[in-house]
Amino acid sequence: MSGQGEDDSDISEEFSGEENEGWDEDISDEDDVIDEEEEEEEEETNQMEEAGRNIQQLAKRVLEDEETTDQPPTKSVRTGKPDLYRPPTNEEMNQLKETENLFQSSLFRMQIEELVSEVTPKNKKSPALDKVLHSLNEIVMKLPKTDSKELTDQSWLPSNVKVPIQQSPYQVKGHFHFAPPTSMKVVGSYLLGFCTKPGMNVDVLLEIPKECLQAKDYLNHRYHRKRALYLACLAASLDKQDLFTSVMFTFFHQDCNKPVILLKPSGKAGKHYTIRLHACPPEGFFKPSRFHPDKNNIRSDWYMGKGRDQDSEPPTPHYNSSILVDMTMAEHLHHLFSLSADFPAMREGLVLLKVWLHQRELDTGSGCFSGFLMSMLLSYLLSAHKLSKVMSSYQIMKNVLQYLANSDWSTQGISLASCVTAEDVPTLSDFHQAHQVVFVDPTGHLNMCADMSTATYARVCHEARQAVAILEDKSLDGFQLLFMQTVPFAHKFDHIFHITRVPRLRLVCEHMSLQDAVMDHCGNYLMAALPSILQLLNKALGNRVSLIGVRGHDFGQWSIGDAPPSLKDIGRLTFGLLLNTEFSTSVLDKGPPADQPQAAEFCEFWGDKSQLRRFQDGTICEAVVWQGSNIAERRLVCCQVIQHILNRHANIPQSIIKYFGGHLDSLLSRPNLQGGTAAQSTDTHDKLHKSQPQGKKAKKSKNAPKEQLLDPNQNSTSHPGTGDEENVTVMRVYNDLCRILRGLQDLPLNITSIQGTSPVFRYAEVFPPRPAHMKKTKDKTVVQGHIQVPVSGQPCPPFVPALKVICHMEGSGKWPEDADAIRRVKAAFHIKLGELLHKQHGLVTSAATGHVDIAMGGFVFQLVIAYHREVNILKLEKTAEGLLRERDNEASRHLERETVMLPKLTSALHGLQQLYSSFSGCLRLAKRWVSAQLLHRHVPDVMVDLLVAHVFLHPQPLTPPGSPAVGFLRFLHLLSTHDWKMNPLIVNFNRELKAADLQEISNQFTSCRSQLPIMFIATPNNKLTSHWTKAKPTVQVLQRLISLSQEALKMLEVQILTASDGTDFKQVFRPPLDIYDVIIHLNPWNVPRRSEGVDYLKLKGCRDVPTDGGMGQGSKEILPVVEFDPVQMYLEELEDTYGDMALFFHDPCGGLYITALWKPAAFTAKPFKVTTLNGRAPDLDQSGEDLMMIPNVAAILEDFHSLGKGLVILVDVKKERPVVR
Amino acid sequence: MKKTAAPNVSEEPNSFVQVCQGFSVSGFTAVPVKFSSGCQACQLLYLKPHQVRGTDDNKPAGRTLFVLNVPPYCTKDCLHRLFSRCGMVEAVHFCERPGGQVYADDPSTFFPTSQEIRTFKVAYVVFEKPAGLKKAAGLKLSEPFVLSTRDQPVVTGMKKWCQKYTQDRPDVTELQSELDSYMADYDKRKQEELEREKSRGEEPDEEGWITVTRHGRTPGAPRTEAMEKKALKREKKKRSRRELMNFYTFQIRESKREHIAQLRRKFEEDKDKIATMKANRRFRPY
Repeated sequence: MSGQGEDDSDISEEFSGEENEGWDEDISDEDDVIDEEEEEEEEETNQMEEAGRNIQQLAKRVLEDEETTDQPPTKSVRTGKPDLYRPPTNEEMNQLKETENLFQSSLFRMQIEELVSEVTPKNKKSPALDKVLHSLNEIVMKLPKTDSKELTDQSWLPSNVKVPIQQSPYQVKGHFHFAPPTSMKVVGSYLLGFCTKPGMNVDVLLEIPKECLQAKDYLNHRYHRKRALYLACLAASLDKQDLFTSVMFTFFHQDCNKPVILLKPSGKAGKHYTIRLHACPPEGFFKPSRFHPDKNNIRSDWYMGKGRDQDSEPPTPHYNSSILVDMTMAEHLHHLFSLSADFPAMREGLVLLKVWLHQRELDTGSGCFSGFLMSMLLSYLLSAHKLSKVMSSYQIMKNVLQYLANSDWSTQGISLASCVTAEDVPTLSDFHQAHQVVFVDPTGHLNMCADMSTATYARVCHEARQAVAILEDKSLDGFQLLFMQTVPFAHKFDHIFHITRVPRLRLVCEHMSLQDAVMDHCGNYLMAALPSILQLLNKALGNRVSLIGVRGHDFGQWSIGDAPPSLKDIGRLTFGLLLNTEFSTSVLDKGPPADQPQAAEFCEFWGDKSQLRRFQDGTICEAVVWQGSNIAERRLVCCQVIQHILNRHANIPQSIIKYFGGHLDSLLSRPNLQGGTAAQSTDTHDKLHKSQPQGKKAKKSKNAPKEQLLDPNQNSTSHPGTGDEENVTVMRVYNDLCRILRGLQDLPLNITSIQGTSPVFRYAEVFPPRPAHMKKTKDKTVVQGHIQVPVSGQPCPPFVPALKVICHMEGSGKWPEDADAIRRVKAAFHIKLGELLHKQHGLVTSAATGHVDIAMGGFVFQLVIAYHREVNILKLEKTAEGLLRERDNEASRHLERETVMLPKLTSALHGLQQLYSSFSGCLRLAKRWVSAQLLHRHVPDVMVDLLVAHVFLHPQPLTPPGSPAVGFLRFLHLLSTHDWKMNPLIVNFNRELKAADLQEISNQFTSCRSQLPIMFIATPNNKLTSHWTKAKPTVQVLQRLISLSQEALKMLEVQILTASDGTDFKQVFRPPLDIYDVIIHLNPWNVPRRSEGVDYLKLKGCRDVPTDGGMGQGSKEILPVVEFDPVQMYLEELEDTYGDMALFFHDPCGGLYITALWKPAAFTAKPFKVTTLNGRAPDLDQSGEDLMMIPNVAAILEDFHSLGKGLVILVDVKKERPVVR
Repeated sequence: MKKTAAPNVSEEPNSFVQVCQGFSVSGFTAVPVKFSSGCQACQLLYLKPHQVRGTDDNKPAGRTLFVLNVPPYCTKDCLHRLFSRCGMVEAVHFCERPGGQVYADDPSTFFPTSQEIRTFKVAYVVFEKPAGLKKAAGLKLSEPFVLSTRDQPVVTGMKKWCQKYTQDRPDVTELQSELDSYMADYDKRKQEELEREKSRGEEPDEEGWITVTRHGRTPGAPRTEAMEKKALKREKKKRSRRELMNFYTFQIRESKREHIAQLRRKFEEDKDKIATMKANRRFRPY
């Protein structure tokens, strides 16, 4: 052990005399290289020199071994590069095979190697750092002793430092003086070579000399006080040294009683490393058996001021373990050291696992699953023969994850001390009684998971299960998902809530009588209350959630002159809920039958919410019914449950619980709901009949600000809904229409299929239509027969969308073989269908050449006849030799998209909604965001659908989103982080694409990258061409989309996680306007969809929804004005006319302005040429000889006015020509 | 191409009127037009006599004026009015780009062959007499010509869109009668074609050859790409069925070698992938 044990004499030996020349050389060497990024190249030579040194011989050998075994594969093959057919050597065969066996694939292996080299330091030892450590040792050992003082007398402390722990109660016995440590040892991952970036820490352990301590210091915080004082003295004296750029305090693993000193070395070593100074009691000073989890070491009469007799003192397991941690540090190091001795792949495996933990935020906060714990777990698995020392890093990683996935340390803890059979060693069941999660260290006295909560452990297991599933699925890129992608808290959990005032938990502890636990945690009421709160939540939510997460809090670092942070400074305690969507929306919690004894307990738990109810099967049970009049409100039932239970049992008032689940709902609900529900209620067979009274209520509270209505925390009387019900209504009427169509008599040909293709049929319409009223209004709009038409000079009629339905007719020899004739036959069909529907079912119809409009149930369906051969007929062309061949052209592509591809996609997305209930909400939020950012016209509609489908179909490493809001976050994340240039995005509906297909796609993608669209999306129906994103978006638009989504993501995450008051979630839905050159303001009266706007103000005296009075007057039913949106027509004209000079942007959801951006390319002066004259005039300012033509901006701006007469009210010009950006 | 415009005219939009006075570039002259009398700025029409080698009945040489940069809202009537001052105008044709196809009046009211042109377009103004053309080519205006006047307004914006909505809802009976007559015509045409093919399929031509058609006594397969591909495939399948795999020793050896090569190729590919990933810094986990 002497070689590894690294006590201070060893260090001083290494750093003394003879080596010094070498040192200087090294340093100067490296100084030259610093400028050129990293210090890697000269690495190897340095290592050779270093090899001669006797520093940690053992560790060194291990590392070197590893390197030599690592090398051969790449080298031997690379030399003879193109020669694939040369006879293989034995060695090479082995190597190729080994890769397949030991690693998933050679790609995986190489990726692992790259990752490990990226996150670990280039040098196993940094000479610069060693030098720093050496001088630190010298300084520390020469520190002067101080006089002995009472513990409570701290006036002797230097003025530049404050004691880094909270001291309450302050009065305590004992005296203390400072003396240099008896030893200084480097411990932890640096020594073992397990360090990982970022923030590589070098743990240095200082042994407090015996003379500073007293025998009974284990009692009543005395050890902790002395330790803190000791570190304070050290920090004060180190602060004066210019060896370190900063000297700070922090809490070790966020434990309020365990301050450590953070030293940032000056110079090169400080770039990567931070030194952490720990203090520990001298070896053998305390007897470990003192700290048995059953023992009491904090006396209540000292802590609470009231005495109890010796036997009734409560045990203090957490306090005990916190002292044990310090006592066992050195021993743990020895344990790990001997373990790593002949275990070559341990380092790589451990690094992988640490990266995995870090990406999931599992290694932060108090009671975290630290890298140290992971290495101990490796040791356990080795001893349990679940790992062997010859395994590769991949196998280690996989086996550990597999073990974790199936483990349960909360009931069956594990121990590394199975061979220790001393009498005073506590048993596993002792530990289970005291702690929630149990993993006992090699000494047998310490539970290394003492502070871990069940929530943290459950999350580790959950993540491990996810990881195992990912590794087993060969179609996924496991490496990317496990190690490269982060799993942020805000993305992981469907709903998030905060307890916004942590100090309140002190009262909670009193309310739940947890005083003993508070004492055990030395006053940390958060840690004391957390287990009970989690238990409450688990019981109350039951199967509504599959996982509850707690966000690890972070006290951060503070400079030594400041007082230590207290729990007050954390601000909030954050929980995350992973919903089990099958049960999470249920409005009923059914309890036991009333006559059973459990009923009383149920009533006690739920309080006045519990009622007796008779159920359909005749039983009478206790039950709790939650409010949930519509789907959006039902999604927030968990919020109601939590608010109720925490208020009832933990005395946490609703006002300090901030719940985020429906925070984006307001963007999906229309402001003028009143009319909508009224119209629905007139629909006699409407299932939502019940919601009518609520609609009335909402009407009354119309004047109240909308946000307040929507805030779930306010627990308002009703939720305005998020359009889910409307979707259902549309689908129901559509199904009725399908039935009618199929039953139609006297049609010349049969209908083979009916498929809706409007966005609403794939749940993608931001605001699904409400039933419109079909009666003639008092408006003077001209009625031509039974068709209502718009009239200029009057406000634009309310917007009624046409819901497009494709209707395939069966094939027949009668169909003509000529495209023009087919168009005529289809038109004849439209007329015929309209007539038949009118005659047989009394529906109002209107046939046109390209479609027939059918009014039914308050909706207007636009039926289009399709003939399956038409696409092929359009494609036909005759070559010079008279050969007929099929070639895609504009017309055929358009028809194919409309009649073949869109219906397929629509049915696939329809299926997704059946699987994931929050799909529609998420998709509509995403759509809303894209259009609110004015990019709707520059992005194909279907692109957003596919991206959101990807979020749901391929959620790994997460689980499918359980709420629209979190789905939206992940949509933004996907958009902004996917590497569009290098990787195809594959949306694998129904898992139709197999591994071979995926391979083909990615091969094809890499080989023809330059010909493919910038945004490449592959689906099972469209593997290689990315049909939907071919023309749009352009590189610039995608770039803009990405940067906007990055901003939005950042903002939303901050808003959710800080939970400050008055957060406006609409902020990310308001576009920045400063980049645009021209803003065209529109007349709101002629913007028919104005009511959909993000910030909508009602116009006085105007109808916004096509639903209002004049119903049931017996007047004739008519076809309302359909799909009439002047803004869209204006935009089309603008784009057709000036599309090559400017880009136009508009928000179709109620945008009241159009913005334009000049195209820089169009503004270069061009010579007079017949083909490039459009919209140009001679450049008058130009001084050259030749006449140059530039865009006639003044006239163009006036044309904006002229083209949009009656719609445009103001053309606001910011810039007359493009600015070079 | 010399700059003939007056230098340093002030920035004010009306200065284009002065520019037009002296404008003459490669045979073109310029005429300022503006949408309505309230407008400040004006667009410029560039015109010159139409000269193209080929003849087109719609654009007779010597009488046709070629007009460039016609704004989208400018109608045929507007140009009629503008150029009537030079002589009687026979017809005005619009085209999307110079030299494009000019359609005479549409035979069908419901299925138009040409769409409304919404970009800046090209116009061909045909005068009744060559004199008109001559006069028009030298046209100079002291004031921009106003396209939309009180008496003859150009319909744009809301008014236009409302009109279009009404137009798009045709009278069903009229539509039906047009359809019927078209289909009757179509059927007749097809019938005639069929007759012709059938008769061709039976009678040898003067050299004694009989053309094989789809409708003759011995119908042939249609000559399409799909059919040719199918035939090729069938051929290939037949050939592969005759071949024996892994029969001779050399074949087995060959396939083994191929396997190793496959592994190596995969390895090389992976290495390349890693190299590009590395270049893109894809291994920084955080």
